[in-house]
Amino acid sequence: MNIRLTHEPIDADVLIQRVTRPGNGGICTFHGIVRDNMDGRPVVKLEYEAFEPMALQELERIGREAEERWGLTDVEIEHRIGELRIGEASVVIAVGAPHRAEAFEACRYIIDTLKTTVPIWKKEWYRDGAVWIEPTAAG
Amino acid sequence: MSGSTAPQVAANAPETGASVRVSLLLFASVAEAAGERRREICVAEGTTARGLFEQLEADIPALAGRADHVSFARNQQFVPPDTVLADGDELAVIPPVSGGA
Repeated sequence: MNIRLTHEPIDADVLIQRVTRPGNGGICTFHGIVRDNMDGRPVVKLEYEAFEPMALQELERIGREAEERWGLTDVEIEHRIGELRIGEASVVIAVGAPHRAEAFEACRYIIDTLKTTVPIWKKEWYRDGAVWIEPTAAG
Repeated sequence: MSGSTAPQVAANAPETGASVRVSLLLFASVAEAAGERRREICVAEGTTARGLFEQLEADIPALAGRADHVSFARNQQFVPPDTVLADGDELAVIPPVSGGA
């Protein structure tokens, strides 16, 4: 298992290569991409901040959980930190398993769990300002 | 400490004047509102994570009303808000997270 936070663009091909092995009949990847709008409002760039040591620890915990629950052979998670342009990847997850069902389910579990528990924050920049996105905050 | 406006803290704090040193870490919207990312702070023995944040709210008006919307991590582990802090603890205030995509 490899877990990384990076300030450089993520090379998804490297992650896919690492989970490509003869025993893995199914490989599933998720690529989170910086979208150019938020509900129609143009977004010019994104910024991600992390509590890095704890984020790494939480990502590793999620990866281990997925490995055990779905019997994965390989898990790769890489999250970008800092400023990102439209079209760049904020996160790439690649998992390898003997069969496809486990790969699909584990990949989905990892991204869904990551979004709710890992101390990483997204700031959306618009032409006229910026907002920290806080999904669970009331109001 | 006597005179505290945070009942949760006052109820837990013995009147001995003993205090604990905590390294407070702030992130994202909370750091931006506070204008700082780290503060070394001395609080009365028995102060909880939430109690410490309430003291900070009283000190920094821009943080007012945030206590119900943040989580806490002590020494890089999520803990309930009523966790009592110990000397030397690192307390991270975790605003709602939004990593991923």
